[in-house]
Amino acid sequence: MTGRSGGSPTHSSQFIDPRSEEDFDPRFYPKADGASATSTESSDRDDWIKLEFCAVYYRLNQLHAKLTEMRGNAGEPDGESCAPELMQEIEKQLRLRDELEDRYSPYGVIAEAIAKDGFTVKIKFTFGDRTVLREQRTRLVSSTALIFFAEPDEPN
Amino acid sequence: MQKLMLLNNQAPGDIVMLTAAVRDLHRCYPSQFLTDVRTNCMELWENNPYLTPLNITDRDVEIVDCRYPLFEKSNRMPVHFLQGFVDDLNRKLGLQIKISEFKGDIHLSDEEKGRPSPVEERTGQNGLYWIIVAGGKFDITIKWWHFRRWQAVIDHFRDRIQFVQVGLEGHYHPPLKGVIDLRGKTPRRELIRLVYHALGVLCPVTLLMHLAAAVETKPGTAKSRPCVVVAGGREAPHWAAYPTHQFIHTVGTLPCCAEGGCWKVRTVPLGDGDYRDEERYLCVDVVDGLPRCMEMITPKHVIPFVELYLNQFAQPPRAKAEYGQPAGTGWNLSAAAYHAPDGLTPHFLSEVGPSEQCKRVAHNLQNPIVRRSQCQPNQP
Repeated sequence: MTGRSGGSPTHSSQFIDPRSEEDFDPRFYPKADGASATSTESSDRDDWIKLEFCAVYYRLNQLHAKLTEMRGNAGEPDGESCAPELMQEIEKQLRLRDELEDRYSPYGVIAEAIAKDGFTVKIKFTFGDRTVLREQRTRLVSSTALIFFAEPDEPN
Repeated sequence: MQKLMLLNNQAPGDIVMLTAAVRDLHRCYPSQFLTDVRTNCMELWENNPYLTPLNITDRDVEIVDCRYPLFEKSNRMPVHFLQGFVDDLNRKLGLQIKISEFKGDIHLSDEEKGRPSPVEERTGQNGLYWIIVAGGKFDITIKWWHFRRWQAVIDHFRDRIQFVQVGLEGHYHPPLKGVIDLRGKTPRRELIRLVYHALGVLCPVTLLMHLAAAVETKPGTAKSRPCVVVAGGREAPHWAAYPTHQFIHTVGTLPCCAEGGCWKVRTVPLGDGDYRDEERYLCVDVVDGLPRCMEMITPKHVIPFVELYLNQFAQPPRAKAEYGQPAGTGWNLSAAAYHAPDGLTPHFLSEVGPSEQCKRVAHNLQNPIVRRSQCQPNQP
């Protein structure tokens, strides 16, 4: 991205919701701020950002499960030596995650992955601009005006 | 004596500058003024010896709305932010206040100085630490540096510097790995105490750089607190920098800041309805989501400036004596650990090759968010 970036960020047009795939496993789909991500019908920018991050962490969870299984079978603590393709796929997904973070960081979006046993179970989102606006709307504003003027002289 | 009520509702960093103006008003005109303030972030004024409680409605109290229009001349004149409010007071009150110290005027009580650091109070560990700010407010997003770049600096100093990340809740402060995470957990006075105990500060142009200068250092430590500021091209260095800080800027190197700071406000429009989204407030040269002036500054530029300070304190006997670090306490950051093993040669995780990256993938999956440093406290 070079030059002036106008308006809100746009999500990828090639986005595929893993929930629409045949082999979708809901165990690996993280919660977004403690709730299920909304549908792809939403037109809200924040909803789309949540969908994108949930999708990439879903795929990372899937791959992590495969890696864990492979390690168990191979009896190797590291395991990567016997699964170069899997490691490459994990790295690819990590890069996609990084690209998402990079795309939205100028807008103050934070997607903080909360992990349990190596799996991302929840993503905590922070959408700063909306937060600030909400704060401004709810903040009580008090204003005081002080006007000083001289009293007229007593008539003689 | 003339009674003054000084008003200002700007950001905390601005208020630190106002503390300097009040200090020097009284130093230049002793026993001639009684001053009180009504400002944002009143905690910055606690223990201030120059304030006298005044009633704002008393008719003999002169109300002064304090501003610093001097910044508009900062690209043409050799002026510093500290002079901003002084200049304003001089014009409004017909005075000739002169700045007496190159810092703001923040006061800690003896009780505050006697308490353990907020880090020790929260973790029980009393090691040495630096403070890091990896973000900022939404009103001036042009000051932000990329969080992965901050992370690269943190990673470089792993096992040599314990960083403590701070930031106000509601502002943009992405979580960093390998730090003690105090984001949203440091009310202002606690933040000031945190600075008091800190060895150094790493930050963009923000409140913490002003506090790094304004908050006294602990007895027996260095006379000035190390501070490395990633500044870019928004503000002229002579306006914003402190003499003992490392202020990394690009002013003069780009068309948009060829004649001084650009004073732009946002990198991209946030769509939050704020007037700062207007074209005239936006960065004119954005690269990969960063202002070009900030994109030009990489971890390779920042790390050597931190190293400069570490090398300064790397003399083993002196370091121990100066910091008064009792043996067997705190993190395992000895003077030897402070010494860069490879001089000023920086190395980054981002430079790790694909195979090494692969080896670390599994580890990252296991520890996507590492909130605490891997530095362990010494065993007694």
